[in-house]
Parts: sequence; C-alpha cells; structure tokens
Amino acid sequence: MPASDNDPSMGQSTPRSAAYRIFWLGRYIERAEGNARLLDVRYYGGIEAGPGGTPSAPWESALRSLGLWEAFVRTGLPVTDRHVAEYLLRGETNSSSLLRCIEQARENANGAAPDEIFVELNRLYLLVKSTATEEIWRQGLHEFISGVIRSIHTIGGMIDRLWA
Amino acid sequence: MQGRIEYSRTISASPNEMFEGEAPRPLYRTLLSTLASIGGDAMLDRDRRADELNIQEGVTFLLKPGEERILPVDWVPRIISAKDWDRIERGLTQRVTALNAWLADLYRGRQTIVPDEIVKSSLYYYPDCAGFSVPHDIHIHIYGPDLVHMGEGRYVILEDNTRIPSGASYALKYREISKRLFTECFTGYAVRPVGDYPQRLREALQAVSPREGEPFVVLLTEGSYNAAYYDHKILAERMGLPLVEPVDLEVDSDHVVWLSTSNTRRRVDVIYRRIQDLDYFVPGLSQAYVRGQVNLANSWGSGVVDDKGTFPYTERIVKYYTGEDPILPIATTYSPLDPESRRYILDNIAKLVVKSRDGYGGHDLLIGPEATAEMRDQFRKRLEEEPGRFIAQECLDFSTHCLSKYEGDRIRLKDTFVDIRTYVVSRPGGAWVMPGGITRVAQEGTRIVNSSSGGMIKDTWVLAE
Repeated sequence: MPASDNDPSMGQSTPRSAAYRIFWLGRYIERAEGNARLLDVRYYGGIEAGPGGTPSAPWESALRSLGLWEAFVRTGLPVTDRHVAEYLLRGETNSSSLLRCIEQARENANGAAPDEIFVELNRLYLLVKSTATEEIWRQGLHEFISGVIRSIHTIGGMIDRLWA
Repeated sequence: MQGRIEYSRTISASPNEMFEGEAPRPLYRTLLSTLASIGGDAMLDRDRRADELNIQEGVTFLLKPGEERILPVDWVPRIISAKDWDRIERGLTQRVTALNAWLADLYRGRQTIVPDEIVKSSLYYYPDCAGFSVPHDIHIHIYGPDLVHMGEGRYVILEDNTRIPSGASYALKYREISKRLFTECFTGYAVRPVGDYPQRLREALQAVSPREGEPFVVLLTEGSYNAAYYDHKILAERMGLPLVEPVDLEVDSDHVVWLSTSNTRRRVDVIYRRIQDLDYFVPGLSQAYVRGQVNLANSWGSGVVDDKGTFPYTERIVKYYTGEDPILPIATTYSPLDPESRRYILDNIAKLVVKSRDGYGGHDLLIGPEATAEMRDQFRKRLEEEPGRFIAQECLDFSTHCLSKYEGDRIRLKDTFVDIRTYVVSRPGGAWVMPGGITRVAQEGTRIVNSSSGGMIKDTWVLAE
C-alpha cells in the first residue's frame, strides 16, 4: 500500500478512526448494491411464471436470505410486490434498507474519505431519500435501481483510484 | 438599465456601502448593471440552484445531531476597495502582533496593562501555562476578528476571536459557488483569491513545530457531531493534514503525543486543535504541551483575549507593544468594574450595547436602542449584582449593505447592517490576512449579525486595484 509520508488519504497518516470508518463505508456500499440487485432480480423474476408455475411464496425466500422475513411480517404489511419493494428500498423499520445502507455509508465517509467521495455519496443519499414514491414507480423500479447502482459504481471507482 | 433594480433607504443613520443617497457608489456601478441585465427571475433561479448545490455538496453546519442546515447566503457580494483593505491588512497585522506579545508577557508574569482581577477571573486564563513560553512567542496562530465599517474606509474592531475562530472553509466554498453560478458578476472586477488560506495556514503551523526535522501536523476535531465539522474536514483536506479524533491520539509516559494510524503510529508535533477541553478529550495533552513536546494552535491560554473583559485594554496593548497608534480603533468599551464607568453605563444603557464577558454568537447581550424598557432594567440589575461579568460598548451606527429580494423581474435591495469576520494567520516574523472573509448580514431591523441569530452571509470581494 504505497503512500507518501504526508499523504493523509491512506497509509502512514490515516488515523485509525478514519481507517475504521473507511472499512464500514466499503461494507455499506457493497450491502447497498447487493440488496438493490436482489430486489431488482426478484421483482422482475416474479412477473413471469417459474418452472412448475409461480412459486407460492417468492418474496419469503428473498426476505429470508436477507434476514428480514420476521421483521417484515411484524410490519403487518401484505406480501405484495410493491409493499416488499418499498420496504427494501426505504422501509422505515428496515435497518438494512437501501436508504439506511447509503445513509450509513455517507456518515462513515464524512471526513474519513476525501470530500469528493462524500459529495457523491451525499448526492446518492439525497436521490434515494427524496425521490417521491410515485416518481420511482413512474420511472420503473429497474430504472431507479440502475441509477443507484451506476452511482455506487462511480463511488467504487473513486475509492479504487485512491486505495487500489 | 437599472430600471429593474429598486433600492429603498430604511436605516438613515448609517452609511450604505452600495448607495450614496439613492445613487449607486462607483465601486458598485458595474455590479449593479450586471445584476440588472441578469434580472430578478434569473437571480432567484440561481439563488435556488446555489442552495441546492450547498445541500448536494454538504456545505452545512449541525444545528443539533442529525439536523444539518445550510447557511442562508445572499449572493450579491460585498466589495472592498484595495485602499480600504490595505488599511485593514496593516491594522490586523499590527493588532495580532501586539496581542501575541502581550500573551507572551502574560504567561511570563510580566504584563501590567490589564488588571489582574480581570485576567485571573477569565474562564480562559490557564495558570498551568504560567512560566511557559510557546514556540516563536506565537499564541494566536489563527486570529478571527470581527470588524464593522463606519464609512469612508474607517473600520473598527468589534470583537477579537482568539480561541478557535471558525468558518474559513465557508469563505472558500461560497467563493467557489459564486464563481460557478454568478460568473458574469465578476466582469470588471479584479477580485483577489481567498483559496490560498489553507496553504498559508499549513506553512504557519509547520513553522512552529517544537522539534527539528519535518514537522507532523494534524487537525484535531471532536468528531462529526461538532457543529463546525464541515469546517474541520474541509480545512484538513485542503491543508493536506490528517483529520484526527481524540481516540486517535495518545500521550505516552514521556509526554510525547502519538497518532495511531491504520498500520503504525507517528509522533505528532503540532496540533491544530478545534477543541477547547484538551485533557477531557486527550488525557495528558495539556502536560505534553506545557512540557514542550507538542505545540497547539491556538495556544492553550490564548482565550484570555477572547474574554470581552480584556477588550477595553487592547488599544493600550497595541500602543505598548508596537510603539504605534492603533491603525484600527476598537469600539469604545467600558468596564463596569470602574465606578465611574459603571455609573455612566447605568445612566446611558439605552444607547449602549451590554455584553456578558463570556457570551458569544450574539447571545446574552443587550442592544440598548433596540431593547424594551423591561430588558434594559433586567440588564441594569445584573450589572449591579455582578459588574465583573459584563462590559458595555457604544452602540455604533456602522455601515449597511443590501439584502436582496427578487420579485418577478425586479431586484429589490434593502438596507441591512453588516460586519465582516476576517481570518489572519500569524507566522514567525509576520502575519498573512486572507483577502476576503465572511460578511455577515443582519436580519432586517437588528444589528445582530450572527448566523446563529438568523443572519445571512455574503461573499466578500477584496479588489486587487
């Protein structure tokens, strides 16, 4: 990991607290991307019939794989495509929603990563937080998620350039 | 051409910096015609885009944890002529030089100008620093005084800020946004850049290392929940200094300060500290400091000058230590500890400003002419009970600038009081003054300009010629 003596970005001058936060920044944006992709695949995969007809509980397995099935059931929401999708995107009680992952990534980046990275994450955070629900469905869930993933890749590229 | 700009004079006792009577002053003619050609609709649109940019780029302060706010900015800039600025620059350099010399004498037990009872009762006087000399006798590395303009280039010092003056990063950031969104307003003006500040400050901090060799400088922040965290992180990044939190620092049994990094530890020479309570955050830090193992900016004891009780004596400090008359006067200030002054204050409270010695940010003060009879009585009572806690200043009719309102295509400009927060970097052998700063605009009808009291901010242009 080459870093000059006075390079504050990494190596000999990165304070331990910043290194710790950068680690979590990485974890959270990976989780955000993974969850977003899972939602995308399951949502559109459920539109066509599967082998042997439509499975009886397509969302239950997806939510179980994220460790969120019990929490979702507790919300009392019906298990419909739209309710599950909105729960995974920004469900208020969902501590690993896309919004919460991005929020956590943003908080960890703040001051620990170069400001350029924070600003990009902040834009993404504002997009996911502020886009009206109706607007997401008007665009199409896939279009919205694709935009999020493109932005995550931009951030990943910035991180790679600094610490590859 | 200027049909779309309307100016109404509402504060007649004060000079307005943009207009003389109803006529634009020469300094502002070009800007006003540019604004007229942009028009109110387009200005309003850019105003909103500027707010949007501040939100997107996180140019915020924390109101309380979890509540980020952008500062309200009026994008019609304030302009200061080269001639006026030259005087300010010389005046601030003279003043910070004298204040540094006085602090050095104070902690060597040699100062005689400020009464002992004031110094010793100051919240920021640290007896632990007595007998201790700081590198190059610089206590105030970053000086952030607030000035007001009385007209005709006569600027007056209203307050000294010598502990942890904040906000320089906003001056840098608002200039950037100003250039991006209001580009054509710069036409016809040779505006001096403010962006050198981080580099100058970095050099000044490196120059006061207590050790030989390449100095290692860090910026110490309380963390992301501090209201000024934006300022901390942006300055650290632009100075190329690690932004460290208290948990990253450790003081060993030889009183050496170490930074724990991701893979090793490094000895720290200079800490640009944005915290006040050293030992509370980093146990042993004050001992490391007074033993000369690490330097702090600003010095631990520098806050005595922030205490408004010291303020009435600062003109004498300047005269004594520089042998010259002060280039920049201070607002006439009275100490109620003096019986004659006390009587004067009690009799004339309606035309004075009374401030508590340790108040800041526009809090715990009385502006006589703007106050109700009840408020005046309340302060009179407090003054009589605890005269040592207050000072009083003449209420100045300092300059106004304009608050901009956009109505359709029209631009309406209204009188509003302004001050300026400046940033001065002391270094061995001199000082450097950021050519610009933060002009703070009061809400309509008051002289309190602090953003924590609802004021706005203007980009401040210092002209090269």
